[in-house]
Amino acid sequence: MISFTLSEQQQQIKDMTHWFAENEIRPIALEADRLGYVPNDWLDKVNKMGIHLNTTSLKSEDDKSGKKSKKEREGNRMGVIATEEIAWGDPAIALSLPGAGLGGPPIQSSGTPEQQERFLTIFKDDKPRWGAYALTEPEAGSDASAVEMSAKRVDGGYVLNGQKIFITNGKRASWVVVFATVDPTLGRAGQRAFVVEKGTPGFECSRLVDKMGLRANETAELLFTDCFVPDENLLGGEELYKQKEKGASGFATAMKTFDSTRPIVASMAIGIARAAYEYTLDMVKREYPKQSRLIHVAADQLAKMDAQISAARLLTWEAAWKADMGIANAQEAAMCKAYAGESALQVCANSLELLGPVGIQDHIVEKLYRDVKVFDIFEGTNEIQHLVIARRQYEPYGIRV
Amino acid sequence: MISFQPTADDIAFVDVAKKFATNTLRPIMREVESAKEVPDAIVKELGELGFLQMEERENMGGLELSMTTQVQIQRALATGDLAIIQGLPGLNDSASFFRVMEDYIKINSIENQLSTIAYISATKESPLPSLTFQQNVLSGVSLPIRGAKIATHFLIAVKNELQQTILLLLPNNVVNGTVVGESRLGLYAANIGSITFEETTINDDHIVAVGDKADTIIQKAEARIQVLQAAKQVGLMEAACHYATEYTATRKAFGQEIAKFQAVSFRIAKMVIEKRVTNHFVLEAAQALDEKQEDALQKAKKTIFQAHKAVKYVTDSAVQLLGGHGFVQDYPVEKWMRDAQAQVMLYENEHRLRLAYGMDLIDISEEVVMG
Repeated sequence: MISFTLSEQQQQIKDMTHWFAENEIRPIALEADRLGYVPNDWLDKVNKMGIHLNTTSLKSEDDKSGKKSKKEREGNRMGVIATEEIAWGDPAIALSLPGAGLGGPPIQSSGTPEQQERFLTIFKDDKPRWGAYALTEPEAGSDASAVEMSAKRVDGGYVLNGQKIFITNGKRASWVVVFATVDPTLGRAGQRAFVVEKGTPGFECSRLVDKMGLRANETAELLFTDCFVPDENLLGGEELYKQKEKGASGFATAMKTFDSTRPIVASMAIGIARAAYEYTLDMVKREYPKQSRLIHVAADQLAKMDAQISAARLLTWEAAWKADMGIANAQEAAMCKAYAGESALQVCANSLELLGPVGIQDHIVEKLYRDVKVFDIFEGTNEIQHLVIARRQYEPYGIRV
Repeated sequence: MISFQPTADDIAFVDVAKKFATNTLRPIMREVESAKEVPDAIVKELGELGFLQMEERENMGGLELSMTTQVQIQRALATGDLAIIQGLPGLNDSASFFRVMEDYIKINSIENQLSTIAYISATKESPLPSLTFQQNVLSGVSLPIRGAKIATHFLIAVKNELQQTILLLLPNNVVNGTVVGESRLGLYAANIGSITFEETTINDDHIVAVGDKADTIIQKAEARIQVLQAAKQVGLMEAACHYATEYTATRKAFGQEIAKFQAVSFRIAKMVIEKRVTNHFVLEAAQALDEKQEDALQKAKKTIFQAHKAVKYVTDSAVQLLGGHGFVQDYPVEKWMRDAQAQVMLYENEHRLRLAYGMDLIDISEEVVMG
């Protein structure tokens, strides 16, 4: 039955994560942005509280045994509900929370049971740990099929050579899911995904980049020089790539990952937009003269912003619901990401304009504005999302756009 | 629990409505536009399917369907032709008033279930003079409304000299005239016209509700109307999206299908997103009304201004994507764009609705702002 009402459990998650965002994240948001990192003692504290950024969850015992659970899966919906609240607190800190992060979904979707156990169970409360996801290269951004990083087959494994850029938590990560090609002439079919563990010889972080926003979150450039990765770290094992008839490849793994992560990224953008909107609404209510033309302008802008936030959220919920139901959701994931990324920036920009010159400094909205821009870029640019959506529209007509 | 899964009953209803829209309504779309009226056979068939009385309470012979079900059916029907759907006889928008007035019994006096009751809203600020109601005398000319030409009754919301809201139900024999202009914009079959009252004396039998009670009824009913109309606009968008996609998939320029140009395919993607967003708003507001949620009226308002914005964008885009063909009547998209614009004008404009919504967000009324 169609419903937009949160279940009791969903509401609890929302309330709990909002409390955490309001009381633990927001108070350090501006300071972390100024410092350019999230203080380690804070990360230790939240890790001990069991707060992680996981975009996936381990399979239940029923899933592992192949039994069909009677309970409806709702992990994706829970994920987007919680992520919106955490990002409302601060997106840079949200992305810095310990956990598998964007590296989780490819391991869950394509990893062997042994790999899932080995890599996804390390996130414990003794100390904070991170996972990371490394696809982008200097010459391969939106065109993920153009990955140049090489993976040469050798006895017992592969040797990786190449560079990855824009990797969230790439330096501190305990492991990184890395995409490389065994043969560039094979195109997408030649791609493989590997899990490269921290400390592996030949694997280093060459630089942390300075950014427009999300300054408290670590964005790394990674260098792989004759880096040997054992067979057991080939994601899914050799067996996965023998299933050519099923289109298995590292590229397919990368694309499938987006179906899970784009709604999460969209929900972060919504959290940011909501934070800016709520701050501005409060300011307009307190400060704007009630009998002036300005209030008309503000009302109109606020109404637009409120509608954009609601729209982005509903699109995101739909993508997450489809994922929970096991229904193909590539189009919906692209829709929510495209809409949320673009409209969240508009909401932040309009919020700044309603604040006027006072918004230039010492208010969180200017930070949110700097933070939000990248949500229209990473995990596939706005243009790539439109391409994905358009392709789905023209599929019935045999047209590939 | 968040879910986008329609019930089996809803799927069945929508299936019937969609087939009727595709096989029966769409093929006669232009013919109905020329005749400026909906053929009796269509009315009869829709009546037999139960689609003329979805909103009416069961004790009025209606189906009393939930909003969630109704919006899905209305959306499906409007994919055939919005103008035909807007030109049907029956209670139409007035049905929502009788749905929310659970204690209202005078409706029994309307014996013929296919009476057409046109709704006239004259309580809102208007750029042009509308109706006045002073000392129980109704005067003036209404703004153009749907169903004016075929109405057997009029449900009228008006303010009296004390600025109290009065809700009236009048038979058409007290009307002094119906002014029907020459429709060239859109919704030709919707029987649009203005109603003239020349010093019409109102007696107690005509009064349905007064004051706060009338305000509450109007608020609740208009919210339902807004969501039902938005659902129809989603149907129109669905038609336009589908047609434009099919056209651009086959139309060639510069040696290839124009769909392969990103300026074209990205516009299709944006149209589809706007349609999807509006559909979600419609469903969310429908559920809120069904469950009498606290913010249901706000959700309805948000839904209709989003629907207005989206339907203008999507239908305009469809014309644009067809290029010169979009402008001529050999193709349906020019009609859909005209119909969309007319629809938006009948159900308040986007800007005004959004402003009202924004004022609610700031917790102030428009009156305060106007001083």
